[in-house]
Amino acid sequence: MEFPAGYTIALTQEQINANWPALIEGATFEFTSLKRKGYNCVGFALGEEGKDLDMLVFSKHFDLLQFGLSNTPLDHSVNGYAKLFRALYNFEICDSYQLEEGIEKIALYENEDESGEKGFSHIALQLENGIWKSKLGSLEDIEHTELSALNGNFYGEPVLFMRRERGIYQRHFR
Amino acid sequence: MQTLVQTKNELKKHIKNEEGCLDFSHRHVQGMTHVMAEGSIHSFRFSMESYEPKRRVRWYYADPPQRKLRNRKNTSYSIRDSILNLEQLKGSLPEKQFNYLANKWKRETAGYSTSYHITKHEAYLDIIGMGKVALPFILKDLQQEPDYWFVALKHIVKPKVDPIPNEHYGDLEKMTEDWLNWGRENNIL
Repeated sequence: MEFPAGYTIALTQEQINANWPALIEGATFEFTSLKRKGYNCVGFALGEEGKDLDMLVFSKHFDLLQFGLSNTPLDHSVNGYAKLFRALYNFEICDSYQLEEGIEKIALYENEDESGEKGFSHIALQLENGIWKSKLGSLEDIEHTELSALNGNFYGEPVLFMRRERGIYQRHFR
Repeated sequence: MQTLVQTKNELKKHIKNEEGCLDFSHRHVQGMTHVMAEGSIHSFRFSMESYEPKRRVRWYYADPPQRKLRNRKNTSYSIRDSILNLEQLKGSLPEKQFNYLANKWKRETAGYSTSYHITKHEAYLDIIGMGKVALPFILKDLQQEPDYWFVALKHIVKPKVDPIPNEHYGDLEKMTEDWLNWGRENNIL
């Protein structure tokens, strides 16, 4: 994409080298937006733009029962998020990340912190042409050809894939 | 009005005068910062670039004893009683420390996708460790742009307050505005 004159790209080459060594602009990824703060990759991938779902669903005010979840608090594991995506957005766990017609897929990444604790780190959304779309934290949004383009210390690697029919538009929070 | 003292003797004098007790202190010993708050001890690495290892710097806060206050009937304890405002802290060591840690935190967590990872960063925990002295700086930073300061605010502000209405959770701009309003109401901003 063309950036407006005077715009400074927030995602620096230094960050790419340190966190996502497989990202190469023009080869494995393209920028698709300017820097946007205020919501995370989860809200972005699930169409809840403008909402930080983390801040919402992990707050004490979030009514788990309202969304058919048990009253057990959610955790930050990949399975915890998968449970949430199934209950709120009709996603089901699947084996493959390969493109299927009429099916929308998401890939959940898991990383390991310094203490060895594993947790959900990122979500990428598959577009109709098979390319993946990601919001890199508060940095720019990108489209990447392979899921492995985001592998590294920061996001770890994709460990779980989920699918639902394409075209389902479910937005719970405004 | 809370007093910021820099030496132990000044603190003792203050305690005698005010009948208070030591509630919160920072001690810099051998490159480590120890934070003591209400009997619990947390230690964390102090790695500010401008830190001079040979110089001993201490900041003491002589708060009224909260435990006693809680036991007294009809006693209200305002957060304002123990917080210095931006003007009083301008150019101080805590301000420099906060700026260093906040810049490091923002730079190193910009690509994180979850608030869980963002608020677990070492520099963020160090800012929480700074305690009440960091509060005016956090609110000032929120004035610039919404950011994930809510977890730090929740840990720092005592007695606990939650100025965010349920329906604002998840909306960073509204959550930020709620905290800024709280800061203005308490004359911290």
